[in-house]
Amino acid sequence: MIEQRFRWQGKEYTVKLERATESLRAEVDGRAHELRRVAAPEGTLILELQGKLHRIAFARDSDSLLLTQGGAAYRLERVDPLRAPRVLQHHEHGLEAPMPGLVRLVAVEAGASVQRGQTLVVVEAMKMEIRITAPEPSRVVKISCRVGDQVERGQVLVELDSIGDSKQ
Amino acid sequence: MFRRLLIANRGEIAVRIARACREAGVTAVAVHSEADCGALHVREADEAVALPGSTPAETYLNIPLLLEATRRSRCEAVHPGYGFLSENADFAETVAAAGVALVGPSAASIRQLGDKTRARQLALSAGAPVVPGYDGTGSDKELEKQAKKLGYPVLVKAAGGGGGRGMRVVQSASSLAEALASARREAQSAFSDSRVFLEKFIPSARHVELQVLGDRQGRIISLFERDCSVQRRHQKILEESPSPGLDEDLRARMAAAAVAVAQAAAYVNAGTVEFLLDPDSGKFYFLEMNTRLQVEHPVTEILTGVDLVLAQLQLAAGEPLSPAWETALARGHALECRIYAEDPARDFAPSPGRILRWESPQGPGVRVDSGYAQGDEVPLHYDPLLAKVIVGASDREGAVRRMEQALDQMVILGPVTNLAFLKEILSHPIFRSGKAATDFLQRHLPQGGEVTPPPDEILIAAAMLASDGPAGVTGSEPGETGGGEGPRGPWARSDSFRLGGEEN
Repeated sequence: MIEQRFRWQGKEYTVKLERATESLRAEVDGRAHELRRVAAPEGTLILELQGKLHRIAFARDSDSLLLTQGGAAYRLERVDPLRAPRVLQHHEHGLEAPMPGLVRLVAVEAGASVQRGQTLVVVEAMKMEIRITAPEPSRVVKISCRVGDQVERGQVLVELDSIGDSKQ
Repeated sequence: MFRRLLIANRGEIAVRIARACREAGVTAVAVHSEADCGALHVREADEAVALPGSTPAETYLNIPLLLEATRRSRCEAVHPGYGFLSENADFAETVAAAGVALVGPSAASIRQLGDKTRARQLALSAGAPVVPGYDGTGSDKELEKQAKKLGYPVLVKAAGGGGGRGMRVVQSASSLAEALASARREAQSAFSDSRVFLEKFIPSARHVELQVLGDRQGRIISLFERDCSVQRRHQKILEESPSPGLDEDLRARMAAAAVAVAQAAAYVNAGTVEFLLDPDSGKFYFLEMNTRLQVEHPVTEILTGVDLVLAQLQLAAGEPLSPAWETALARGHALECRIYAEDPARDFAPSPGRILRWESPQGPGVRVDSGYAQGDEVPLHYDPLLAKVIVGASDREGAVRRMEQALDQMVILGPVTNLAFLKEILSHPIFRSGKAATDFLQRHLPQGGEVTPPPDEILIAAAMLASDGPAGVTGSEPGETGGGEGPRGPWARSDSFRLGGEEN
């Protein structure tokens, strides 16, 4: 089960995806759908829902997904469940793994200065990659994981020191 | 015919002209601002001249620079398109003085018809009815008296130009003084001419315009009408022909009036005579004559099969009216929608930016005149018209359905567009019944249409793409969904970031 959240015009939407044997199951704000994905040229997604084909063209624009179908276009902003609230998940200056997974990438070294939003570590879980990003301009104090590590939820992956922190 | 022609414009109309030039065996020379250096109209031309700067004043409105570009590129003719310098008498004069042919009427015609009060006089002398009004030469006290005589509501209009600028609807005597002052200010800044005049305001009318063509031999013909009643703040967004508001008798009388006005102006080349039609009384009134190619000219092209840009080139080269144009018939119904980069939900704010995805509709009877393609940047300096979709079908209902289909197919991602708004207009019962007048949008779709939340399939698609990661998606094959483990999951297949692109 994968869960994604999006924001559109101030409203939030939650989508859950799950693989079934012959199809996919999706739940959108509690509404359940069974669907199939049909092969489509690049930049297009064709979904079959209840026997009806939906041709959806898309593009990516930084943290947003642009999608259109039948003349109506939507810009959906990804609500990264691990980004905004992650600030609250700090252990001192440490960033935790949000879910059990496999470390796919360590993008920084100890001692490096990083900017807000910069990717530090990428953890893969359930076919989904989660980027652990710096919540504010910081210096990397310690990297506590390596590529290939299996990490547990809540495990500290990176320790940061805020740049300009009053404690310094 | 000319050998080389300079296109003093940009966007879809410059593309349109470049294509007509190629068909006619004329070398098309584009000009472009810095913001437009890789634009579609440059890619479609044979040669291009760079103009320094990006604002219209520095580039597409810069008469000395354009004249220099014409001379250096050895062009024998200049096509001004629409907008920019297309109705600028000084430009026409300067071009003519340099021994270059302007694809358009004479400077004298442009000057006479560009002055809205002189144009009214001309129409009256040609026997065409004008909207009851007052030419505004007197004092404000006199204007007040005349407004009362006309009866409120009245319209304050700029004498120096159109396009909704310097225009105010006045509901009562108490707000006249303020409207006059603000209209004059706006007219002064838009046209360097603060003169205004009064017209009786007809709140619910049809906007019907007649396409005319004139040759140097002094002959004028008309090529049917276009109905442009669907407007938002005096800006057309949807045009069609034939007009649902005309019968044969009215059509013939309006055509005769249009030709008479053009004749009185000794008009040469393509022009458009605009009328207001009161649908209740069946009376029509001359509004103005546009001395250029119209944005909506493809409606007439689809209806009649006459290539108006090619006709313009031939007329500018001194050729007489073609018998084929005179005998052209109106076949079926033609409809055009203007696709703008603007956000109806945000009071139609322009929405420039990079076009991340673009697909044009296709199919029988569908034409797209576009100024952009996928990957292009829509600059913030110029008007927000992205493209025009034009359809032809055997009758009006067929044309509307064909247009709905075409807009469904069209994909534009990046800038926000009015595509969904256009679809709402098309499906509105008043438009559908052919009864839309100039107040239709204001009365029935004032907010720019409904904003509908994303349907579930859109959200599901987004969730799949979000799970795929940022490096683009490739579709899973049908049947693959039950399959493999590892990186080949049901949503993602390749993701260079995740697969360690940065580790290599």
